[in-house]
Amino acid sequence: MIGADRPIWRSWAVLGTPIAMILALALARASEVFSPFSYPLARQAAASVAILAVGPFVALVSAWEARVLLAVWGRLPVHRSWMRVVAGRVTPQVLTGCGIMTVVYVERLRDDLLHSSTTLAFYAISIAAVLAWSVVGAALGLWLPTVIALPAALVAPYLAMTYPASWTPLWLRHLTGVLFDCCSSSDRVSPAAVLASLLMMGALIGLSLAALEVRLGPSKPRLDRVALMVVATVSLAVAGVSSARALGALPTEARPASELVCERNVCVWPEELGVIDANSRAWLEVQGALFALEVDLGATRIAPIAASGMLPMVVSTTDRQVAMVAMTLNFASLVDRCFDSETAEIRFGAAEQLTRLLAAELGVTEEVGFDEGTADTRTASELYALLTQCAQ
Amino acid sequence: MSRETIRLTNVSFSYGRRARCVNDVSIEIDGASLLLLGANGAGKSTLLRLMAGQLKHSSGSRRVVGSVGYMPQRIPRVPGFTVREQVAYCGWLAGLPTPEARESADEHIELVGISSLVRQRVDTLSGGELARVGIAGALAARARLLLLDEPSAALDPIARRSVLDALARVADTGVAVVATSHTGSDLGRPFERVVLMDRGKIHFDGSRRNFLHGDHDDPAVLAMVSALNATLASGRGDA
Repeated sequence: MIGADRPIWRSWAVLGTPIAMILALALARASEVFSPFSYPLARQAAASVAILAVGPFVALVSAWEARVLLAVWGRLPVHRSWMRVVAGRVTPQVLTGCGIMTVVYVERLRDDLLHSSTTLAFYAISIAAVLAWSVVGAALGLWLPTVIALPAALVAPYLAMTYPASWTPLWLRHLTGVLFDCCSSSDRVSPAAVLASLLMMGALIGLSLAALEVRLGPSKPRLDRVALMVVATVSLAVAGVSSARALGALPTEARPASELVCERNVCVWPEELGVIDANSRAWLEVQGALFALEVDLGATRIAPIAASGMLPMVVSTTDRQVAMVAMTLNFASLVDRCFDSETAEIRFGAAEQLTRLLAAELGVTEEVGFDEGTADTRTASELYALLTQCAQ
Repeated sequence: MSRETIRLTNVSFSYGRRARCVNDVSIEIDGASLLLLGANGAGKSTLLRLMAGQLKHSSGSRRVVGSVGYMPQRIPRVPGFTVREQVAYCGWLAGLPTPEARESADEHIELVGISSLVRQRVDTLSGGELARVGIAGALAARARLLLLDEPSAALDPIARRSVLDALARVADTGVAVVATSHTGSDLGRPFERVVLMDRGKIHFDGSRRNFLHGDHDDPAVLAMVSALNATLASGRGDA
């Protein structure tokens, strides 16, 4: 039992749930990175974006519920701790907020829900954010006049979660509780990003609790308790910042090659097994064309990422022709290892000519969109050597 | 059987650096209902809040035995709550478990005669109805000693009568009722004992009969008694 007052179905936490749920699901669906293959991590990240709707919702309800506390606090005898009383007012929206996030995760992930090890990390961030914004809403409701507190509770969480994404330094975005731009199938979420989000949500909770202690605690706030909360808040925030600073713009790190599944001459991520056949056939043809052009790649495999003995050439398609055209277009630039600004123009010309020769050998000149050629008389093997041996 | 008791000994209190609102007061509430009389600013409400523990005394001591209920002068209207919800919430805040708080709310709502209002929202109630909600709320913690700050202030005579009747019924259940009043119009059942305060000190503490009909030489008591008698004589009082 939370408290002895209204039945939970009469609380705004429950009455507002359908609207919050619709907004949360819409946001999650709109946020999913388009991919013909369903990468669970990308869907988890998309589900976590629902907090942009749920955070303001729980904060708004908490700010509203704070009016109940304002009505009775200091006027009626209260023989319960303020934390217990605040918990009674905040728990319904924490429960409904967590419920909404759970539904969104289940709806987005379905079969992968229990199979993905990272689900728990995303879900933990979401739950921490629901808790944090609920407490922040209560603090706003208790410190500000209702007419200001309610719009502030609605707008502040949304701005706090979205605006830092466009600020510099870029790592600020990892402190919002939302993992932006996560994740392509070759990425996995960085533990540092998860940790930074969790720590900042903890700091937000600590700050709000300190504000509540000052507002609702004994008439002379117990300085030791407030000081402890402030120290804990600052410590969490500093730890969160130091964790986020290790990251760049993306909350991701490279997915380990050990997760690749290899078949024939192609290695793919487990959720992309469907592209193996098209890529394998296309790569055989490209390799054959290269061999005919006297460029022998031996037993080189292709994969979604650059790894030992693999070219990062896998194309997310089940159409052999599309894969072949994409490989033709990408081959020269992917084998170019001689990064040097002084020779960039020469290499670019070489890459273009190599692509032209390869396209002609494969009969896809039209699809590639290159014209018939120039007066360049260098052979494909010479061009390949120019791009890979870095002698010139 | 232990009786509900509040004992204040040499208690003083002041708001900030202002003069003491309550100055070296000693009083014991021991089960008899009591009306705390005094003009505006006499220190009645402050003394009541000190008894309730809502204020912390700056000197002296306070001893409480048993469960004490307190109703402020401005009774809160909890936004969106019905009468039953507000009374039950008062009981819960005072420490009762949820089921017991609900049960206690139903009992005391019936006792103060507002059963017909249980589903009504508190922000739609009249002053008299709200006063009885406040009394039920103060009782909801199963209090056996009830401290009420001006329960009948600003009420019309009919509403005041309904509140006093409710208090009489409460007192009949064995609850000691302590109420403040600045007009004395509440003198009557259930208040057998009267305490008069003036400028933070107690000037009279005795029976109602003695207060109204005894010989007094304290100017503060004489002023209040003669004002009450004049009110009664003019036919406007209903004490």
